[in-house]
Amino acid sequence: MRLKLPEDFQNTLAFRLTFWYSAIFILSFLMLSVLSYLFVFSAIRDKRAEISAELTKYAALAESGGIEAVKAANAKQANPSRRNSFFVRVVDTANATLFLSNPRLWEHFDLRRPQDQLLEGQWHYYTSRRDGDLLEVMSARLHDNKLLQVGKSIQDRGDVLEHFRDTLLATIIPMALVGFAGGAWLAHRALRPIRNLSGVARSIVDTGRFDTRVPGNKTGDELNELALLFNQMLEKIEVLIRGMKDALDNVAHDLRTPVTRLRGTAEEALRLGADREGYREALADCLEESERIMTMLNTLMDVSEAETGTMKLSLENIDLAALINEVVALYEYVAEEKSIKLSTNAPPDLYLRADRARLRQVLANLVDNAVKYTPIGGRIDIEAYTQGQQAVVRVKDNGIGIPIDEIPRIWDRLYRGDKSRSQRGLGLGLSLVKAVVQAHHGQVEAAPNPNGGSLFSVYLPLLPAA
Amino acid sequence: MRILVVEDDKKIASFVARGLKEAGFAVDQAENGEDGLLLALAHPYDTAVLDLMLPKLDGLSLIEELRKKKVLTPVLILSARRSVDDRVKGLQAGGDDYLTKPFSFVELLARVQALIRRASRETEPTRLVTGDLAIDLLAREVTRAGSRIDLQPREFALLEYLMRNAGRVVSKTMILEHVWGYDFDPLTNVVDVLVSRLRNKVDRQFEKKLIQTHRGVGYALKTS
Repeated sequence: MRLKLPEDFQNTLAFRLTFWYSAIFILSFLMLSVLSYLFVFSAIRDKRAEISAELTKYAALAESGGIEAVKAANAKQANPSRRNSFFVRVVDTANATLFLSNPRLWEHFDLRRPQDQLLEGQWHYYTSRRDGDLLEVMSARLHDNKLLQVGKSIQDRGDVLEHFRDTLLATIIPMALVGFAGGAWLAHRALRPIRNLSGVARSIVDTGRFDTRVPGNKTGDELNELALLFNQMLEKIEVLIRGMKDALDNVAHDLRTPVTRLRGTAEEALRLGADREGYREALADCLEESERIMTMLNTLMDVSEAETGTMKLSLENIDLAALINEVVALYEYVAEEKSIKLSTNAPPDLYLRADRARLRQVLANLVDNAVKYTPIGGRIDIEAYTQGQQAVVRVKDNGIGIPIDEIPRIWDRLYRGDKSRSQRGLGLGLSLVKAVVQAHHGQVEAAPNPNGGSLFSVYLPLLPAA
Repeated sequence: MRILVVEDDKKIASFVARGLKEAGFAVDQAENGEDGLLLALAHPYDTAVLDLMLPKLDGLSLIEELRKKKVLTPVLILSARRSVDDRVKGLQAGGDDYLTKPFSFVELLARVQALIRRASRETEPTRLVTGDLAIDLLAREVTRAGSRIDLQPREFALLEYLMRNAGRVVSKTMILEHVWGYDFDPLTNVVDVLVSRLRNKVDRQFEKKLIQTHRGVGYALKTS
């Protein structure tokens, strides 16, 4: 499954990026070359205009002053060379040369008249027998029937074009290499975040450990965002796995104590060989203990499900006041036994979407908690109201309260404050409250009641996010 | 009354069967789904107690097969799964009641009896009597040894439930379910509190105590 295998390579993104980058680079280079070649070529073609102008000038001289005038005009040129001087020639009808400017420059050219070709008004070429240079010539018929020819060597122009062409051809291969190298470098650079990502993913698959993270860059581009999201996802998975592992550890740990009690009770009864009544007691103890184990197991499962987001919530519209009254009804006698005054204050038209059984469990646990920690003759107030897009339920008691430094920990699983140890309980009630409320996208809050005791608040969205 | 128990765990099967026999039922047992289906098709049972995870043929398929063949024997499902979904699935397949493992036998017995009662459509009594204690369900009046006792609605509901099951133990879970409509354990023992209130009103001034506690199991209303 390595990506580096040759037959797989052309399927990789790196290869495709490199390929397209170099293809576009080379194509642009070729187009630029062709365009500049054409530009240079047409610039050189413009020499014809110069030749034509020169021809007109000499024709005028010849008509007015004859060959002498042409000679005179031509003699002024000093230090002639093929590159800088025009070819000027006057011939008679038999193609005998009457005048030739700078004859040494043109002596190697075959100046014979081309066969069957009208020369005047036409572009034609004479070829040098020595170096293959071409002489581009335009002719005009003078009124005395002589032929005036003006031309220019295209040697330098050919050289320029040829040189230009050679340069272009010579650079194509290095340019292609540069394009390919650039493409490869770019692809390598662009794909580095992705390589990091798959490296991390592979190490997770290989080792099963979720603690590696993708290194981010500081550009804030799309790939960096992907890396950040990937890290966030890993973070979340790690939290979930840790949560599940913790839940399992807690279950294992907390089942050990009641199971030990269960076992001890049974063992002791067998060892002491009690009478019938003694056995009854021992067996009843065992039953109670097993009941306790089941309750703890179920609650721990609920807490883990809610915390890991796997708890199924069947949402429905709930009349909060009615639900509060239901819960209060459950505890009315218990409160009455302790002479605790349970009062409620909830508007009748407060509806929210939540899972009925779960929300009832939340409220019941809060009231249960309050009843447990409020001494005889105390009072518990349960109120509900809306605040923005949230429903708020507050359970306020004037009981023993919670020490400030314990407040953050009371929601932890199996945490039991010093003051609460004397009370019977699993230490799971509040963690279930928090987990279920958070599964509903709400929050919980605990604070000391200003009048003594404690104040628990639950905030639930009226319409939870889908 | 004849009951079919289909359960592959031998220990559970044997304590359920023994308990049901003690309660006066005739019991047939099967250890896998196929045998269970054959038995259920061959005999008209009054109730079947059925585990969901069974070898050869699972409980849900067994129920569906029975209902397809128009066998309407009431079925009590036993399952180790406690989620609402599983419960709904079991009832949709044609089960009549659902009990999660681990269960207490008294609860199983009460549910079996309720299923049989429902199937036979006994006429509802309007007056229940146990010893010198009597309640009138229409007038909602309670008397013991001729003198009236005033009860609050929930105390009345508990007493009615205990008297309907007179002589049998009912568990705390069953009381919670009947009196408050709750299907989960509240952490504080609200049932104990309600029972002790009822005791104060019904039993305290009398020498003979009718409401008995069965530790670890539940409560029972008995004359002996």
